[in-house]
Amino acid sequence: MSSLEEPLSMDKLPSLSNIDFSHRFSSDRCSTSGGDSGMGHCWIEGNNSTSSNSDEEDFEYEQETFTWRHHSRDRPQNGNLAAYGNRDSRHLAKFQYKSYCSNGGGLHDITNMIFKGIPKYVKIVEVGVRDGLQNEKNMVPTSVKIELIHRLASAGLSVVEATSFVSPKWVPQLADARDVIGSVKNLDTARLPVLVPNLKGFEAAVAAGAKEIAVFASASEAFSKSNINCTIKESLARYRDVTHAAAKLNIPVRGYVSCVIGCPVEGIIPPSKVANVAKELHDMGCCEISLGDTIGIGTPGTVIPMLVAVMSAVPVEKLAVHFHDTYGQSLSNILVSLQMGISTVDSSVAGLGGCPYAKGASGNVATEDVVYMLEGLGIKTNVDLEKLLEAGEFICKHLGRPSGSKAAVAFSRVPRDQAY
Amino acid sequence: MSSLEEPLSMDKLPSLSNIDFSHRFSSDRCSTSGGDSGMGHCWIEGNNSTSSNSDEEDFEYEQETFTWRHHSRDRPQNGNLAAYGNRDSRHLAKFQYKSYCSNGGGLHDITNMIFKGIPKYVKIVEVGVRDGLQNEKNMVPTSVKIELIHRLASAGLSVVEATSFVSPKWVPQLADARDVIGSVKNLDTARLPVLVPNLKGFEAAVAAGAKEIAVFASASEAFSKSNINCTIKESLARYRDVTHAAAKLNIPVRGYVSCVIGCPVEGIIPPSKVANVAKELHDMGCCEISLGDTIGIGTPGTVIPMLVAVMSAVPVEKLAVHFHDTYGQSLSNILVSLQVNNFLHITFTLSYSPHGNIKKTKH
Repeated sequence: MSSLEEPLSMDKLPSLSNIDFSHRFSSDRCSTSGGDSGMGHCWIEGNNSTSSNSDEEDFEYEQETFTWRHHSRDRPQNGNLAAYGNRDSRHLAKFQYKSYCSNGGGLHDITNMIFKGIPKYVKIVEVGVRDGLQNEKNMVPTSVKIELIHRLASAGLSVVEATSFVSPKWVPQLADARDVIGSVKNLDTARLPVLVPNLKGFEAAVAAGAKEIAVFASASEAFSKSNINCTIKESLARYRDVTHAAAKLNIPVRGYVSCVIGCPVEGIIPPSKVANVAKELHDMGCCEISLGDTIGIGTPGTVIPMLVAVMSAVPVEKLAVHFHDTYGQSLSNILVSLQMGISTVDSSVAGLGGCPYAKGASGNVATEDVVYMLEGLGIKTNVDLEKLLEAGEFICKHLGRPSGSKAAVAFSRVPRDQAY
Repeated sequence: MSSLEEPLSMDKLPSLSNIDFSHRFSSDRCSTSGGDSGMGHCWIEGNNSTSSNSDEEDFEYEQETFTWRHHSRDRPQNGNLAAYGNRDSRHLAKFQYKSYCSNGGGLHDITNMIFKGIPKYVKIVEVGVRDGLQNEKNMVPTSVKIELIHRLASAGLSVVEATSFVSPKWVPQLADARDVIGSVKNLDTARLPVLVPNLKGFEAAVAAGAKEIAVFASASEAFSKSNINCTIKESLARYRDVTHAAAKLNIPVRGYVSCVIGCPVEGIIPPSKVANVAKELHDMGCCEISLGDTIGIGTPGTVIPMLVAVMSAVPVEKLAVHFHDTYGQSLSNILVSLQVNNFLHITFTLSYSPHGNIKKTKH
């Protein structure tokens, strides 16, 4: 009898029981203050003892325990706590893999080496509402933006960039900036920075209720001129006015640096230029500097030298990375950034925001995909993935197109009766 | 005058010259023998000296040179060699960044740590024609498959999985296996493995002209039963027959292990199970073992323990990774696989198909 190799198809599989892939428990509202202390109730790490009596266990292996977790392919469902374990660790299966390394400490060293320096907690800065929606052809109604902000905050995202006070002449999609920030300004579960181009925009933002600000410089002179119509130095001078005014009101300012790897006009940007601009923003009082690979051309090989340069000038705890996924490289870029000690990552729900330089190509990295990777690494994020997925579904339904997040698409296709 | 922040728009940018982003030169046919020697002509590493006289160079920095390269955003065009540099390294801009680390050896150590052991050469096993096209709803015409194989081989891919000899009853999309391999069997610029389910399939493949074979086992018992209708042990027994017969004909055999992270039926798969199956395939004579995250759920946190377990049982130079991008995780999984490779080669299995693997794991 010939054996058959079926193509991988869920149709032919027996119906699945609710297999407890993960042991994530997220019904508690997570603290948005970040850091380990806020996460204690939100994540229960999974560990599983492998039986050493099994016939299959031909290869006992021993090493220092590396605790990791699997994801459930099941969409988490509210109230379905049993499927996801509970907070009492006695009830949790523990996954601990120990390996006897064939070359002594070699493999153990590799594991430690790869994960050394990766932070325990990563703050995600959600930029979909501003950076994502400003790239939409059609303006998204104010009410939809407001609801999206609420949903994202409810999902545990501690920073949700709300809007931008640049001239509606240039960014008509965000012409409702005042109404948006005016409506959400009292939301106390997330920080809601708004982008401003200059002092005038700052004043308008504050008048509308903004409590946090962001400014946007470039590492590329040519891009600065074409994008914001002034030189880098001129832009920094404007932002000094902003940070000066913001300091008086105790308003935090975040500084973006664009084109940190390459520029569509100038080409390759030397890391030293990025470091210069980052340092200027830091020295003028920006509490955080977000390094943006605007055209998404970066790979680990170019991201690392850039980070090395910037980290020589700005403390790593003040740095964030903002990778575009135009060439599909963002997650691996984020991974090496984590290995370098970066602990703040910008991302966009559902991957909102295309790449204006490559029509049809993707832009921002999807928050869902980032959270998926971080969870798998055992890194705490405070984010409730199910609620995040729902927020993504909400906005994609409005936009009338599929999500730009692969994880979201994958989760949406798991049939309920085959959930596990 | 208020400044404006324009949305990022190409319309408003000056017209772009053909910016030489990269210095990649690929007009020479690369050797398919793999190893460093085969790649010497295909990639010219880019280095660029930063001027230390520039006003902008406020931050001189020094470290061991890490040589990297940028990619060109332009699609390389035949004959447009000028835009992409040439093989004479004198004409190439060189990018070398040296940094004075503010915390002494700290950043330097981190950088070295991240890249330590990453291989200089990676062999890509192209599976789009088999693994990719077998998931298409409509059968792709034989002529199109053949042309795709030729194009992929011409692109320098040294291994292009050509087809599968499983029963057309189950994989109708590849019912033309004989015709495909029959047509490309003399292509000498790439190896063309074909998947076989058992000895009978092996014999048919060889008769049709196949010179390299692949077999497909699972780390998950449930998946083995549902996918190939037999237990893992039974499948391994069948493949022993195949490797035994293949050895007599000096035909290399590649072994796949599916569900190396998780299984849609069983759930999480312990790394030890993956190691067991990988070892069996290796011991029966498979020259390479490809570890497949069939449902794409893996992340670096789960990939590493799996690789650690398998590498305890199978030499790393015999291993390949086959990650599905269902959850968008494959490139970061590949990256850590490169990092796990400690001075030895690790091979990657990639699919050219633009459809990715969502269809593969149809939910």
